[in-house]
Amino acid sequence: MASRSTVARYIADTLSSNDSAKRQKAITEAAAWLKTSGKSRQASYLAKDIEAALADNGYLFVTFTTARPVNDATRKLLKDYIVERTQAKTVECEFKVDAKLIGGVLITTPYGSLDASVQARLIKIVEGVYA
Amino acid sequence: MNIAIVASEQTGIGALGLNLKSIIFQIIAFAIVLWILNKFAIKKFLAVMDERRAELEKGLNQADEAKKELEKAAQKADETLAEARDEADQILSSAHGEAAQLLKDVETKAAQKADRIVKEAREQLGRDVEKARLELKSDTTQLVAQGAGIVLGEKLDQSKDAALIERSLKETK
Repeated sequence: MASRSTVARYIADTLSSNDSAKRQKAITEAAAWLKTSGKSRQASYLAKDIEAALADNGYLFVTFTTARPVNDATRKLLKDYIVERTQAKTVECEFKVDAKLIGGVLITTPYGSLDASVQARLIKIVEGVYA
Repeated sequence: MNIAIVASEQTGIGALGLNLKSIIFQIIAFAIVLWILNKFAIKKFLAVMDERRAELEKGLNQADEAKKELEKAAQKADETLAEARDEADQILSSAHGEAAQLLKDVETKAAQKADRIVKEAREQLGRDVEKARLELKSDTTQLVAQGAGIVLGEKLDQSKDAALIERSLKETK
């Protein structure tokens, strides 16, 4: 039985190809692997592994979370920032809104996250006071 | 002559009415009978008697030996009984000693277990206190940040937020 990382690598390689039939088949195979290996609960982990493998192939999924909706100029700014930092060939962006962040942005990629929100800064300040 | 012999025969033994020849004959016959008896009956009788006496002596000897054996067996039984009693006393004494040791071991183990439980309880209490302290710190931090965030959030609009994002990205480059 193949390991999760091996399966993720195979799926990512297949998804990176231009053949839509193969892509569809790869998704089916991933589901079959989860079922037959009894690891259905690891579906979210497999998805993250596939994201990481796709990122290695130059296909990056990024989630931007802000306190309020951002305009197109800010979206472009954020996407350019990621392209510049990761040298990814393709960047797929998802924008979310979370008022708890107060301001700033939280960037999440398969490699890690960058929390540049006002909430994170305030927490850091208060923790500094307590320390 | 004949008259003289008759007269003489009628004197002495003949006068008693006994016939000498007859007596001699009877003596010889008695001797022969005695010899025959001695030869064939008395010797066998004596042999049987000797044999019976030997058997009786043997029986008596065996009875004596049996008596001695019995006395010996009784003595041995007494000795065995005494040994068994000694051994039982020793076992009993040993059992008392082992029981006391066992009791001591159990008490020691119980005391050690109690100490360990108390120690673990204290450690758990320490961990719980530390966890509660950290949670309190985290909650306080969140509350202060939220309070400050409300004040700041009211002053932040979309353009100011966009400028803040741009500045943040520049700072991270």
